[in-house]
Amino acid sequence: MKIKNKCSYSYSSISMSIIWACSLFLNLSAFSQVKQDSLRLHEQKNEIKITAKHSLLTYSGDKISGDEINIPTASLSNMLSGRIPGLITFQGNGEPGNDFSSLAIRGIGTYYNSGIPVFVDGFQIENNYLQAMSALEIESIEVLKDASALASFGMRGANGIIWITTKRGKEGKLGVQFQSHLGFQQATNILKPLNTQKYTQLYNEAISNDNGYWSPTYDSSTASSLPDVDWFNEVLQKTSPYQDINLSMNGGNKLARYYVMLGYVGQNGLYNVQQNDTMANASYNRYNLRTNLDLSISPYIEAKIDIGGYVIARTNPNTNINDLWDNMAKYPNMIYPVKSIQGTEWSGSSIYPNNPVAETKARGRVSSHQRSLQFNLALKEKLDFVAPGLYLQERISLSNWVQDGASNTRSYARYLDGSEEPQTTDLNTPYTRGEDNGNAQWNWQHFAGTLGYDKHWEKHELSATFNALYNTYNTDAARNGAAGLMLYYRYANLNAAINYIYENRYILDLSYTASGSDNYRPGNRWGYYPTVGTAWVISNEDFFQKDVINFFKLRASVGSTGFDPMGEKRFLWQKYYSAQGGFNTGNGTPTWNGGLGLMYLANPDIFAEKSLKFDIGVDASFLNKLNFELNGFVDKRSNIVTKDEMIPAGMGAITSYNNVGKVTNMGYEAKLVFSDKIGDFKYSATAMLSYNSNTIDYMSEVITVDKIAKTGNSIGSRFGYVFDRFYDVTDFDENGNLVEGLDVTTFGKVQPGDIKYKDLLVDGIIDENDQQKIGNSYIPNYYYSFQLRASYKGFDVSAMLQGASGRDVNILDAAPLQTIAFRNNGNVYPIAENRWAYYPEQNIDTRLTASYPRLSTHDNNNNYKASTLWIYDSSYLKFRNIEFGYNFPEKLLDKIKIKDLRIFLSGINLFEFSKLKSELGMNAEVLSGYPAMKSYNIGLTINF
Amino acid sequence: MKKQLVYTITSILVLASFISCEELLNSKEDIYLTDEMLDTRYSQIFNYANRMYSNVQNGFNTIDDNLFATVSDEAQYFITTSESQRFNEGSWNQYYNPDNFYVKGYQGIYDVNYFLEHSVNYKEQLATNRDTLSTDNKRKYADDVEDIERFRAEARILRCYYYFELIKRYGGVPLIIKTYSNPADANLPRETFENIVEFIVNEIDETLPYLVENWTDVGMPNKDGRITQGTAMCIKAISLLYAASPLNNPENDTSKWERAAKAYHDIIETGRYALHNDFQSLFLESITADKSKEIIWAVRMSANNQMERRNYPIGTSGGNTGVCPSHNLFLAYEHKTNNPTNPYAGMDPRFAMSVAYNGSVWTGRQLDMSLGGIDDQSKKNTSPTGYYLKKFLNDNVNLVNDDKKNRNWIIFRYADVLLSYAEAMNEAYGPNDKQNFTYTALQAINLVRQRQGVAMKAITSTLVPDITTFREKVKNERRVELAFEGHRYWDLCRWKDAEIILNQPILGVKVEKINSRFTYTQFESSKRKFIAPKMYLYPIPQSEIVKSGGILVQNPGW
Repeated sequence: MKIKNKCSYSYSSISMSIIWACSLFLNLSAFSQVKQDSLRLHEQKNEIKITAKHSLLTYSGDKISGDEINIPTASLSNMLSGRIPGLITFQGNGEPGNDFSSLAIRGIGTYYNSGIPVFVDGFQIENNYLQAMSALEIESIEVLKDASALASFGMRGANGIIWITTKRGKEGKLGVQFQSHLGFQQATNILKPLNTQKYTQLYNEAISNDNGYWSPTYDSSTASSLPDVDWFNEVLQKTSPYQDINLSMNGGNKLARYYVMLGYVGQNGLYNVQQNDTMANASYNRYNLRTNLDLSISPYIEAKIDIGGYVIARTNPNTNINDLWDNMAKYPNMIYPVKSIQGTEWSGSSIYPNNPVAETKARGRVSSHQRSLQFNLALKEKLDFVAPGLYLQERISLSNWVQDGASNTRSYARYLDGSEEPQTTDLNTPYTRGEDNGNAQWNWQHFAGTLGYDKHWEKHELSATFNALYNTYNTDAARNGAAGLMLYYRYANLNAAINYIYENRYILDLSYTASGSDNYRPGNRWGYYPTVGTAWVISNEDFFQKDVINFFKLRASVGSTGFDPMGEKRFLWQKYYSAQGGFNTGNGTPTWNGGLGLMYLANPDIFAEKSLKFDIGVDASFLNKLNFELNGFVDKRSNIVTKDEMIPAGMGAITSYNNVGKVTNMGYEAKLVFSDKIGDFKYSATAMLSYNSNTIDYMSEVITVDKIAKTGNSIGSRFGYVFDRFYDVTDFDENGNLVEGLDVTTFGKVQPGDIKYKDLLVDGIIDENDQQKIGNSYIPNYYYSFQLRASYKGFDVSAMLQGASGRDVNILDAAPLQTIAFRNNGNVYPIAENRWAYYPEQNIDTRLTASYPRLSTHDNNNNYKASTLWIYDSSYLKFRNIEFGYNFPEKLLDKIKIKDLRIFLSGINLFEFSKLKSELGMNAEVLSGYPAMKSYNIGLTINF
Repeated sequence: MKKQLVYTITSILVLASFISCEELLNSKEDIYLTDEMLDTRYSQIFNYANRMYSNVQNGFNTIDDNLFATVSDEAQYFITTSESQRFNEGSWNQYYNPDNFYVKGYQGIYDVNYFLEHSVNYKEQLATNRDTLSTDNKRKYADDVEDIERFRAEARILRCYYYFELIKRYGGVPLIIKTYSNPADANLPRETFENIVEFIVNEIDETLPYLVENWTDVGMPNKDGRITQGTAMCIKAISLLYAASPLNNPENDTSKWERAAKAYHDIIETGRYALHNDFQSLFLESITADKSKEIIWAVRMSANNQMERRNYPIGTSGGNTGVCPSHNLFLAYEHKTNNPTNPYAGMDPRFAMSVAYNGSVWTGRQLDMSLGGIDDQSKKNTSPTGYYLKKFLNDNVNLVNDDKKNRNWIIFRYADVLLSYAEAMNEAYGPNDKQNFTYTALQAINLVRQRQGVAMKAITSTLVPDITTFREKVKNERRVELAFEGHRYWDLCRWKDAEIILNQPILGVKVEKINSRFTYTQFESSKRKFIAPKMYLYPIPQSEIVKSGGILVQNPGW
């Protein structure tokens, strides 16, 4: 009773006493990996290493080391493409500091929150911490995806986990490693609009189409006198520099071991802008620091003290970067020269107000600074004197991140054609300074403890653990979505696990997890998640002949996890009222009278999403040369938090959230590694393939048109119309109406060259009922890679190709400015050169070859609808990286007291093969905006 | 050894008790109001009341964040990437409707029902946690009680307003007069148009005595903008007017017109309202609603320049062209005198007060739409019709300095009452029969025509001797007087004229300057499509039809 009182009394202040009380029990690191944590073998590179440990897992234990993925790019996530089966990357844009890939594990299994928790050294942390880690400080990256691997994660596990372990010191002399890359980056591709001459030609056609007769706006002489400004050329430089430097030291003795790393990454953006007090290119400078200490305090007590963090300094032109790239794409070459005729003032007009060059050079600069640190402390007491194999572990982790910034802001007046009158309401203003006081932040606190027991006897190996974890998290309103400002998330996780191995042949994992989240009604806060995993190492059986197959294991697991998302609506069980509506009264300056209303119908039973996972797998090794892994999985999601769409309007647009959604996700992964050597020539080849496919089983959807119901299709499926052909002149009578017998369209008046859709319902009318599924989401069904490594004496080479297929994109959404010609005074791109056009007097007739509807200067409700014409297969195959290295011979190095010296040349993202690239000149992942980057680098690694 | 064992066991026990500490997870912070919090205060009753007004339609933001005029023959939106364009192309249906009022209307009705149900014991509720004894506070409490009593009456009028806005668009709709906690109970079938009109009439007749006549007169000008008796009478009258109109009265039952005429006459008879003496300033900042006896109900907006920003010519700094009046509308205005060289000379003065045309002085300069002029029609984003909006816009608002103006969206004004009265009187009794009312139809229309500063020639009974000829006159007068005020589209529907007029193209004028003289050529600016008869009523949103599981029946043709 006393204890209880104490704990309720002091938890809020988190006094040291409670930290120690808590630390008695809580630990997450256990989940059958406890042993690996401290005893982890240093594994060799780039192979499924069938070590003693790995061979006895009941799940696929794919992992990769930081050294192996260390390519010269700033964001860790961009190094992960094609590295681990089941991990899918989606490259974002290439803006320095914003260029990370988003990640998915085995596709997605839910239409609610599909976020993947990231753990570093056993503790959950934010994705942006992962993005800023240096690859060299990472011992291994694991993707936890099987039921058995996720057994201890309970309510945080359903979407899979990224599990990162950092390097630790090893007993021995001081070892120093120095590594640096130096290189330059270029845009993988920039899709440029047509020049002024082509713009005017096509514009004449577009306006004539709108008018219904040939009525050109530009004759060839006026066209040639117009400006022809390539905005991308004016704003951007061709290349930008990249540099990184890493220095690490490690060593120690029986009592203390250390690993220390210092890292730097510097990268500039593509803007052709000087870096000074009033203007700035995009830039990203990051400084990483890590010290990991292991102390053996007494024969019974071990301690770990880890500090890992970074400082980031960024700059940017003081303009909205997305708008800037949109404007470069949208503003035609002919609108105005960069400067107005006087040559002193920036050009600009009311329709094209934001001169892209001026936006980068005359708006000032912004700078931002980020700091983050993860501090971990762990104690392990070996209680062998109580019972041999018994131990206790207590761990604390504190981490946070903060960002602040400063800006230097001005505006500029826009002039046109030498007119003295400014064209817009903007004025030339002096610089004003602004500051951002660091509102962006997150904070994690974890307390964890483990009670463990390991016992070997005869043919039996048993390890049992009881782990407990308690953590709190909060973040700023901007990152917290609907959840609110700095609102705490509190979470507890208890896990009991038994790992039993009989004669290295039969393995059984049993786990039972209870997770509690503060997000649910008291009495309904805990979820219970049992898991069973088994494996059978057939190759260890007496009857098994190891001549050809030297290792063969079957494994299977089934288990449940949940997902309690952060950053979504909170406390849905609680009735809440918020400010809603209102009106003004009074005369002159009116008074606002605010309203108040119920936010949603409270659901007392709301709870975390549930996942039931079934996994099977095979690990095999042939002739010690070919390693093979195959995994199959089914993930049945249920209880997905879903807005009730079935509530009729008469209820007053009040909604409720219920645990009713269901999704099934299934697939497989395969990995093959072949390694061999012929004399001094060593080589290895790796192939990986992941397949995933999901189906929404239920989502409380109001199905207005059966064929476009999301239910029954995969998440993010694309729906729309089926392109039939372009209307021809013969389809219309002399009044411009469609001739009798043709389907009636309901999307506005059509004319020759407009899109004719298929009448799927065959009712003579083309309307909403003629839609169907026309494409997949951006999540690929197939994701694969090929890697090759070879070395001969001092020389080595490695390369990777990575591809994805079974994904589609609607270019109307992904690149509207590059797709829809002239709309909203926009631009025209090469895709529009394939337009339908028929002006026989002008010798224009593209009717037979057209693949783009007739041009228009307007929007067009018929043509610019989601249809098969605009859906592109966004499958791709990318040449992710290649590296040539040379290791200087030891003899030479001995003289200068250097252990290893390697120099190398590398190229990142050099080629892409895709339909989007070959047909439209677009990058299959980054269709518009700041482009993805490729780079060429030289590098150097020295080990002392 | 034993000691250690004890230690271990104790640890486990500590752990077990620790788990029972639900408090560890008991960290809910209520960043929004809860029932418990609301139970300790009384002010939310006013917040519930205020929310009922949220969905009263502000005509400045109806479609494309601008006037609904662009979907009638009054105007054309300056670009085609617009919701009004989709509407005008006839590309709207049960799956997509830019004017999706169904949900908004029922939200308003729900808000009313919620307030009525949560203010039943308002006297006790208002006494929660407050001093009701000391003199000052006793008076404040009494004032609050009185105010909630009024709000409860206003609520019922607002519900009528929302129902009128619904039946105007959809015809009969489910009649929901309470809140439901179970969605299945709220799934009701459609009531007939007539029954909803009767509901409106009964509610208003019952509630009228509990409403104020005029907020300023009762010493509460700060509450101006809330419903008054005049507002309620207007809602009743317009409901009856729509019920009597050809769309809803195919047999032309004249007793329906008689009821409408009587309802409008009731408003006239109060003597509280009069025409304002300056047509143009009626819609501008200089006339706040309390200063004009013409304004019966208006939505108040705090100072802004959204209308000027969106609708000043693109050639004016900060302008964006926006709503462009049609040449069709120009043709509807009468000329007092004819000038063969300048079509804009000698016109009904209301035209120049509502529309900016080539050669007129607007935003501090003379508009020049000819080749090379600031407003050169061949320039991008200039008016596709050759006209710019002027009504509702304050002249010379300096957008560079971000100057702002207070403004009102007038929902009911006296000129509309007179014209509706004239229309109903004519249909019921003919143009020149007064019955026992104040004005004949002719007298009423002429009051509007002869407003100070407008002074159009009176219409005489020789000119319009019968119902049919007067009908055409009053339709045109409504069009001209109430231009851009959001009436035209609905008038065309209720008269069943839309199938002709809304299938005619929108016209513009091409301006050319020849020998420093302007010439004007009419041209077809854009096409319109109205599919009769189905478009006379909006389709019920398909999602609602599906949700109802067959209880809601779709309008014919959709």
